[in-house]
Amino acid sequence: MALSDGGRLIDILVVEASGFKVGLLMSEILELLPTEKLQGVKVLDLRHHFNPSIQVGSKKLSSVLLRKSKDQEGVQLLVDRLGDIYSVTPEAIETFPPGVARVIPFWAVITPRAGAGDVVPLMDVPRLLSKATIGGLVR
Amino acid sequence: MSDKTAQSEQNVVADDAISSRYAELLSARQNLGGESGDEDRGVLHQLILFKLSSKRVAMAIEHLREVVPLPKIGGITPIPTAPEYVMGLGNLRGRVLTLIDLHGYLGMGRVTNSELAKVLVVYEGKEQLGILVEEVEDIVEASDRDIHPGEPSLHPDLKNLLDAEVMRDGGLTPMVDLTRMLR
Repeated sequence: MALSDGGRLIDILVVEASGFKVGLLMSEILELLPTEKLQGVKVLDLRHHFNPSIQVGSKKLSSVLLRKSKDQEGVQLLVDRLGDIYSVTPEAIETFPPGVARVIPFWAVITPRAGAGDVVPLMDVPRLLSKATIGGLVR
Repeated sequence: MSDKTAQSEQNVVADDAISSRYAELLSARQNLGGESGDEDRGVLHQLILFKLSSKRVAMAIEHLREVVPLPKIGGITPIPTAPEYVMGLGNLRGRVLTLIDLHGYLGMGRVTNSELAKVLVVYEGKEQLGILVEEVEDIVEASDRDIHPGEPSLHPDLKNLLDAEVMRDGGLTPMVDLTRMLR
């Protein structure tokens, strides 16, 4: 996290999976790793999660190691590609109305004011890790 | 002039007429503090009438921010794993607008006529939602004497959105409260 003018900036990594652009809080990410270095870690293929007709795993994918909890090992999230990192003010993040938040697995969105061009949904990582199938094999 | 061009011009005229009628009523409502009273007619409410499948439905405009043609919403970002009725996220003048297809929400398929389709921007406090409906017909006034409690068993297709019924043209038109989708 960076600090600017006494205000807190929030760093967000935009990733692409199965044609969808989504954001991840950098604070949820332990490290970025090429899939070739994956050994003995649990994986969650975000492309398969978004589109179950896509097979799990491929060495051409990019991945980020997500923090599962303070004391537990992380979960490797497989995506098609890593995009840019945006540092945004809290005002550039909008949460969903409760009636919408109940049915979609995202925490919030970053607005076009953040510079990403489009509205980008932000992954609710704890919710993702509790709902998604974890443990697919990387081939 | 081709039929298509004529149809398109008619739609523009309809959009302008609805927008100007909406602005007129909104201004009248603001001048009168939200409601207008009249001893003979009772308290008047402004209602927007729109089509839901073949049914005419009304909604009070007090939580309606604006009516926008669908193409005026900036590029819609799809939301993975969301229910089908969540169309995605739009950008309306720099503010994020989650778009919901009302037909889909109520299990009536999808809004198909995108030329006539309109987005009703409803709000409550700081929250807002864009709700796609098939066609906006008019904005009218109705006396509170003509508004009665809704009977859910007569409108099971409206699920929990039914708010009341209003007597119009000799029949009862269901009134919905779309702000419930925000809660």
